[in-house]
Parts: sequence; C-alpha cells; structure tokens
Amino acid sequence: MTDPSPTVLIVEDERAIRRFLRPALEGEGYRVLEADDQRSGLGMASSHTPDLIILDLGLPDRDGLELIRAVREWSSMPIIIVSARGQDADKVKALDLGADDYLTKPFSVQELLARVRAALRRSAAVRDAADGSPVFAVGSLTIDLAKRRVTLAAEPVTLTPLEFKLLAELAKHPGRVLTHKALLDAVWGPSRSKEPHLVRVHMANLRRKLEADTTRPRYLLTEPTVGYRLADA
Amino acid sequence: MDQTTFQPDRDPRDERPDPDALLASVGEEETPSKKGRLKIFFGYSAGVGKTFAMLSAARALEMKRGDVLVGYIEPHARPETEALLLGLDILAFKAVSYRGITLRELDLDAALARKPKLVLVDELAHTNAEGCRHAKRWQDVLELLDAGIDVYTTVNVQHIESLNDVVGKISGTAVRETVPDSVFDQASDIELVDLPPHELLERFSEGKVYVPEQARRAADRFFRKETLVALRELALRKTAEVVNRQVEAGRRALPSKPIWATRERLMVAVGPSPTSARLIRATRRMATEVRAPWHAVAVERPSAGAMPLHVRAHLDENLRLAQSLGAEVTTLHGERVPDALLDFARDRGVTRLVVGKTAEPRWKQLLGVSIVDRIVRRSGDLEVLVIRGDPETPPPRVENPQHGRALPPKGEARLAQMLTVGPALAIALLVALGMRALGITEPNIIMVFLLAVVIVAYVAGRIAASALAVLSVLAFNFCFTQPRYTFVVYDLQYLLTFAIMLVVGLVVSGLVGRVRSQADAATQRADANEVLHRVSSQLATTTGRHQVGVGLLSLLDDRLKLDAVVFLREGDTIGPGMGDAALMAAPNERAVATWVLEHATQAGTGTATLPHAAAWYLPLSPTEGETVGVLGVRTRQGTLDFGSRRLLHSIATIAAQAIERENLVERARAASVEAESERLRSDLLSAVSHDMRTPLATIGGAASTILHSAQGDIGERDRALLHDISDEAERLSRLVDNLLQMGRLDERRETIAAEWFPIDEIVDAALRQVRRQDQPERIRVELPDEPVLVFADSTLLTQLLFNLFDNALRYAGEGEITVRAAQVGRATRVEVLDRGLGLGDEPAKLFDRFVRGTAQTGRGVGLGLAICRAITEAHGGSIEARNRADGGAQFVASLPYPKNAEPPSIHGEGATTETDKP
Repeated sequence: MTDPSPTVLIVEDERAIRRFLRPALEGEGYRVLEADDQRSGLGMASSHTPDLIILDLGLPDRDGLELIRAVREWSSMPIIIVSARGQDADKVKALDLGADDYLTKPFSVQELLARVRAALRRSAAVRDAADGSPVFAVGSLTIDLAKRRVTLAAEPVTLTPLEFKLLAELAKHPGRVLTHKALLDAVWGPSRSKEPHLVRVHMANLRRKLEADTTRPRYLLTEPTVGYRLADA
Repeated sequence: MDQTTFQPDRDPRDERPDPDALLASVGEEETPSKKGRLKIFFGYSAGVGKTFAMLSAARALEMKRGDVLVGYIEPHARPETEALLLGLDILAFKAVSYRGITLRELDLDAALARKPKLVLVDELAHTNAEGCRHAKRWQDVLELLDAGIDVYTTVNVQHIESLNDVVGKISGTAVRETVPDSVFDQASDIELVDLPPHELLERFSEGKVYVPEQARRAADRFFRKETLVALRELALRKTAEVVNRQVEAGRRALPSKPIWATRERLMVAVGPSPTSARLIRATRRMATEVRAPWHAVAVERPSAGAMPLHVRAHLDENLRLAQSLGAEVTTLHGERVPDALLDFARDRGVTRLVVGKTAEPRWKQLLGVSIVDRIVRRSGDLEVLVIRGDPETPPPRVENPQHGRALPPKGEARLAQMLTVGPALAIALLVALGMRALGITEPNIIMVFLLAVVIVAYVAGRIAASALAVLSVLAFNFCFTQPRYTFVVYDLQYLLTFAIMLVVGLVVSGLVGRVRSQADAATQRADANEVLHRVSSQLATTTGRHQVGVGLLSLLDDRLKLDAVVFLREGDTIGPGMGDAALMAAPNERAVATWVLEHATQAGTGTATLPHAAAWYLPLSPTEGETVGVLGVRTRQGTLDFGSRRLLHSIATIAAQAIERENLVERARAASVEAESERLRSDLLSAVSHDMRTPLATIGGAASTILHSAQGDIGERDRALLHDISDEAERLSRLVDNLLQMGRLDERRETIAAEWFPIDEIVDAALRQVRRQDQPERIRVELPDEPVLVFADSTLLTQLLFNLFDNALRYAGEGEITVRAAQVGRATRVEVLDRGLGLGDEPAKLFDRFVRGTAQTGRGVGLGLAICRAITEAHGGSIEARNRADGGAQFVASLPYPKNAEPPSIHGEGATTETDKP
C-alpha cells in the first residue's frame, strides 16, 4: 500500500477487451498501460516497471509464455493470466513459469478486479516483510512454520509429516496458485512429479482435519486441473 | 450319379434335429418360449368320450385361472357334453358356404384376435371347407400355438398319418383325414381317453355314438370287437411311445422332440406307386421306434426319359408325404438304380434300407436280376428290409421308374413321334427303289432301312423306331424279295435276313433312343443348373434390392416361363410388389403373400395353406436373418412339379441372400452418411463456438464494467438491461462450452485424461460453478467419512456434476437437492437426487440430444444430460435416470475403476516413515 496508484499493464490483442478492462481498472484507481502484442508488452514491462501484468496467452506474435519467462528473469511482479483457450496445460505451464494467478475467458470483471487486488496486496506484503514471517494466520487457522505447529480455533491439530510439509509449502505462498507439479517437487521431490494423486490424497486428508465441509473448503482451495492455493483472506 | 438334396422347409412341424435347434432348445428351457402348449385328448374310436374329457378339463381350468375359449366343438354333442359347455365362453362359428350348403368352421382370425389363454378345438384331423385360410384344421391349431395360445384338441388313432394305413387294414375303412405325426408329437401333453371295447360297443348299439348317416354302413363294420381291440392297442402303443419319449426328453432336460439316440439311420427307396407310400409310412414308424433320422430317396434314370405327368404327380405326392413325415428327401440321378441307392446309403451312413418287393417278371426273379435281388446281393453289411407290395391295391399300370422301364410318352407327343414313321419309311423306300434301279445290291439296300431306323430313333424315340424297324422288314419283304410285291418268301434265307434286320433295327433304335433320352435328361438337369447359375451370377452383380427383384422376375420369365410377383418387406408387411400385374393387384393374393411373410412358410396353390390362391408363394428367407420378401409364381399352363418347386426354393434362397446383402449395403451406407454428417456438424460447431468465446467475453465484460464503474450515473432501467446483457452473455458462453465439450467428446472419446481424485474436490468445483452463476446454492452433500476416490477426468466429471446440479436446480422446484457418492464394487457411484416432479415415463430418453424435460422453467437446448451421458460413456461407465418412489428424480452415474489398477491408499504414503512432531 505504498504507491497510491499502482500501475497495471494489460497485454491483450483484442481491442474490445482492452476497452472494457481499462475503465474497470481505472475505476478501481489504477493507472493502466496497454500493449497489443508480446513484443511491445515486454518493452513496456521493462520501461515502465508496472506493479502487475494482466497477460493474454493467445497473442498474435509470440506466445504469452515467452513474456512470463522473460519478465521472471528480472522481476517478481505479479502476473495474472487470462486465457481463452480453455486448455489446462497452458495455464499450468504459465503458473510453473512463475505466473501468480489465472482466469479463463469469458471471465467476470469483478472476479478479475478481486484477483488484481489480492495479487497487489501479496506483493506489497512480501515487500514489507522481506525476511518473511514464520507465522501465517487466516480465519481461525494458524500455521507456525518455525515451530511446526498448526492450530484451528486455538486447538492444536495433529498432522502427519507429509501433511505438514504440504501445508507449509502452501503457507509460504499464501493466496498463490501452486501447481500439482510445484507441490510434488517441493514435498516429495522431483522423482515423484508424475504422481499428482499423491498431492490429492494428502490434500483430502488435510481437509478432513482442517475444513468443516470438505466440499466447501474455507482454507485449502482447489484450482481444478491446476493445483491448490491457501486462502489468504 | 449326381443328386439334389432338398431340405424341407423350416416350418414348425419340422422335427429333425439340427445342432442349432438343439442348442436353441437349451435356451428355450431358460426363457419360457412364447409358443402355446398343445394338449391332445387321444382316443381309439369315436364315442370314447374325448370331447367330454376335454371339456371337463377345460372347465376345471376355467375355474382356476379363467380365460378359456371354446373355439370349435362338433355340433353333435350329447346332452351331457352340452351341459359342460354352459358357462364357457364360446366363439361363434365361421359360416362358410360351399356348393349351397353352409358349413361351420373354426373362426381362426376371431380366435387369434381374442387371444385367450386356452382355446378348445375339437377334431384335429378335420378338413376345412374351401375358403378357409388353411386346408386342414391342424394348421389352424399350429397358428394358434404360434400366437402363444394354448390349445386343447381331440384326435382319434386312425387319423394319425403314420398309422393311417395300418388302421385302414384293421378296420377295413379308409380314412382320408390325417394329422401329421409331427403335429401329434408337438403336443406337450397327451391324454389317452380310454373306454373298454365292450362298453363302447354297448354305447354304439344304444345309439349313443354319433355316426354320420352316410357312414352308417362303414360304422357297422368298424364297431366290431376285434377291430376295436386292435385299434385300442394301437392307441395305447402310440401314447406309450410319446410318453416314453417325453420322459426321456425330460431326463435329458431337452424339449420333447425326437432325439436321435441311436446311430441308426434309415432310408426308403421311393417310387411313384402307392406301395411306396406304404413303405414310407412303415419306414417312418421304424425310424420313430429307434429314434433314427431317415431319408426318402427316389432315383431317376436319365435313359427312362421324361416321366409322364400323372406318374410324376404320384412320385411328387410320395416325396411330399415323406417330407411331411420328417424324412430328408433326395432325388438321385443314375442309370443303375441299385448302385445309386447303395452309394447314397453308404455315403450317408445309412444302416437300414427299406425297399418294396414289386411285381417284377418271374424270369427276372429266377435269374436274380430284379432290382431287389441286385440290391440285396450288393448290400454288404447294410441291412435291407424288403416289404411286400400291397396285393389288394395293384400298383397303377404305370411302371415305377425306379424299376426302370421307359414309359411311352402320352398323347399328342406320341402321335407326333409316330407320324415321323410314315415319311421316314416312304423316303427309305424311295431311296431303296432308286438304288435297285441303279443295280445296287440288297445288303446296301438293307443298310438304307437301318439308317432310317437310326435316324427315327434319334429324332422320335424308341417306339417310333421300333415300329419303323418292323415296317422296314415288311417293306423290304414286299418290294425286294422274290416274289416281289407279295409278303411271300421263296428263299428261306430271307427269313434270317428279316430276323437279323429286325433285331438290329430294334437294338439300334433302343440304343439311340437311350442316348437321346440321356441327353435330354442331362439337358434338363443342365437347364436347372444353368438357371441356378444364372440367377446367382446375375443377382450377385445386381445392386439395389429392387433391382434384385426385377432381375429375379426377368429370369423366371425368361428361363422358366413363369408369371411371378415379388413383394419386398417394408417394415412388418409387404411393399407394393413388382411383376405380374394381376397377382399384384388382387387383394387376396396380397393377403396370401402377407401371411407367407409373417410365417416364413410357403402357401398358396399346391400347398395345404390357402390353396385357392392363384399363385404359389414362398418366403424369400436368407440363411440368416428375417424373411426379406415373398416370391409368388404361377405357371402359364399345368402345375408345378416337385422338381420345379425344389428349383424355385433354391432360386428363392439365392434371391433372398442377394436382397439381404443389398439391405445390409443400404443400411451400412445410411450409417456412414450419418457418421460423416455427424462429424461435419461437430467440426462446424467446434469452429463456430471457438470463435464465439472472445466476443462473448467482451460483451459480458463490457456490460459488467459499465454496471460496476458507472455506479450512480445510470438509471434503474439501464442497470437492469445491463444485468440482462451480462447474464445472457454468460448463459451463451455456457452453451458454447457445452457445445465445445460435446464436440470434443464426439471426436475422441478414447483420450480422456483420467486420474484418481477425491470426489470432494470434484463436488467442490461443481458447486463453485453453481455459485458463479448466482444460483442459490442449496445442495446437500452426503459423503462417507473416508474420502471416496474416483478415476476420472476432473474437468469432465465436474461438468457432469454441474450439469446434474443445474438440471436439478432448473427443473426440480424448491425441494432439497442431494449429492451422494460411494464406492460400489470396482466403481464409484455418484448420485444426484431431487424432489421435483420426476421425469415422466421415459427417463432414459432425457439423455438424447436436444430432448428437454417438460417443466419449462429455464432455457437451454437440452444438451446438458446428453453431455452427461457422453461423459460417463467416455469413462466406460453408465448413467441412469429414474423416478424416486417417494417423488422426485434420481440420476445415478457409475464410473468404473481402470482395469488392473486399484485406487491409491487414502491414508497416503510415507505417513509412518516419520514420527509426528507436535
């Protein structure tokens, strides 16, 4: 919350979409930059260093994935993917390359604005507490990474070591989507990266310990076909 | 020697065991067959009380389960019998007027239409009046049984076909009305109605036995103690035979059809004489006793020439009798009758050969060259039974062709042949006279006459040539020997000349005549073969089933000179037909053809079913599959003989195969056109819907941006309109998603990316989609404590669940909606239940594309449930919709585990490798 008017870069080839995104974002008080292809988008990202990029994956010149790879070489600015393809593989690739969040067309503008707010808040939080707080709290759930302690409504919760590692990995990136592959690599090691059901089964067990209703989770959110995120609000 | 074997029609009376039928009959045991059951009340004479017994049994049944119909009871019933009729449902007679008299018959159609559980039909052997569908009442009964109706009927022992002649001998009265044994054997129940002969005689003398007036005298002979005792024994034996067979059949758990238990195989040699009919019956009796299959074989000698029509008719009749009694009928062609018979017998593994001992000349018997002698001599280990011909009824003057003498051609043909003799003699005489004038010697003149004999023998046959030989001798005598122009001979040497000349002339004419008739017979056979060959080669290359029909008609017209009509099957009935206009147009003929199609059995003229039709109708039945049509043929003159009918049967089978082939081609073509257009449609849909996504995102996004950023600047009306734009864009994009999904599922249902998922995640994702649409989320989740795993493509399964939720929310009113999941066997079952109005009568139809429920509470194109089905099928699973007993609908999807794979442990791996730290 240091900059009163954060800058958002829209990289999108459809003029009609840019045309309604701009007033929507400006209405929230952001400054808006527009690029209509990957090359100019990368140029603006480096020259204007925006606070957040909204990126369409289906660009006419080159794939939007290229832009993520290039930006991540020098910046950790939040990138939100907007994809018309409905193809899960691209989203997952984008997230693995370092994108923060994604939306699939057609999307609700309100949903996009909410995601933008959340991403900006997270990056500000990271900037504020550079060394990172060892304790994460959301709702009645507290995760103390240093003490390896988890409490729900002040009651300690007993987790298996793998469950704790999984939860801790999510807690290190609150609000961000972590792909199955990212979680497998971090918790089980790269050798098990082809067994996404490991994540799902342990997640199912974690939910049973932390959620009141496993089909309407409050903390451990599923991003279908992509991965999971820990709610940060 | 060549042979043509004729397989009798596959009609319900056909009792020969074929492996398929035996196999099928095993199946019948499991699923009770739809055919009705036949119960026969069997007696040895009129007056034993069959009708009474039948009515008593029927009354008992009527009390127990009802629905008994009295189809036909002889009107001469005694008072106590009449009394039994009271209270039973009686079918009105069908009145048929015949030569001014009104006859009463069973009204078959009314009985079929009424479709009771049981029909009573008296007198199974009765012959129907002209104008009824079938010639015989037993055929009516078979049709009732085929329609699934049980039948009670009565029959006397003298009416059993195979016992007919025996009874005739015992009683001295011939009975013309007979029932084929196969019908009798079909009875699932035979009740012997017995009365001691002396009691029957008493009743007869008291006038209690009904005997028609005209049969009064015969009856007096019939009702004698010794006759009745013999008949009674016959009836008891017959009953015992059937009962034995049923007991054994029951033991084998097979239906009560004759089972060929022994390795015996019988064969009877058949000719045109009435003796042959006796032989056939006798063989059938023997075959039944030892339960052996049997053959009836006729031998045609090519040298014997064409058979005169009436002889042919006798032979045909005998062959038909054999066929109706269950024989496999074969006609052999061979010059040496004993060899032909014995070769065939060895070939088929026949163990017993039955031949008739016919009145052959005594010298032949003494020399041991009679056919029977030759057969016996060469029979080897084959058992030969020689049965004496019937002395009381001498065989017709006509010779049995099996015994090999040429038969003089009849009538005009013979006259024409004899007319060649005169000119031939005249020419020979003129040439001879000319030769004498030139001084040529007598031996050469004799040669001229012999030449004439040879030519006439070839052109006009043996008889004419023999006549010419005699005349030539006389002419030679008259014109060339001293004294000339008298029949007196001075030089006795000439007598020797005459004798030699006559013998040479007769022998030569005999030989030449035989060559000729062999050639004729060969031609006939070649004709038949050629016709078959033509039919099959022409029909093999014909495309289109109508073209096959046209080709068949032109072949029949061209090669066999027959007027014909072809009716092709259209659905359950026959199409308009093609061919002979008169046959096509007559409603009666169409009715016969329709009956033939429905029953896949021949009918019409020359058969026992609907014999008054103008043509003979035979089903076009391919070797597999249902009858494809009906062929009707009518001769331009005369009747169709057995051989022609056999040929036509073969032609009909070939044509049926061709038509069936064309039917299959048409079906395949239609299917591939449908598949192709389906593919095009889904390509188009997918392309269009892809291009619609961005515009839809823009419309929805723009509207909601105005809505949220303009805040107070817009009025209530505009706000509502913007809401509508945004909502409709959302709805449209959901539709596009569905279409895309459907297209993808159609294209590649193999390539779904299935993995193991906890069902909670899928339910969560589907519920979130519901919430995204601002639907009030009122779905209750019931899951077991342990996580339920499902092997599925998560996107597709989420879509499936969402569609089911969406469907319930739209159509099921305000009631509670529940989702459940459970592991059931090696599958995961997911259920969505609601409390709406239910699904109507045909829930399964809801899964068809573009079918929507009746409650018009929402908009949509009816793709949702079709997608659900496509998704479950892509997973190798199934989905069902049913109405809940206590109101509402229930959708159950079942998704199987993959083969050879178990769900991962729900407690996770490595849980115990590290100890928990607090």
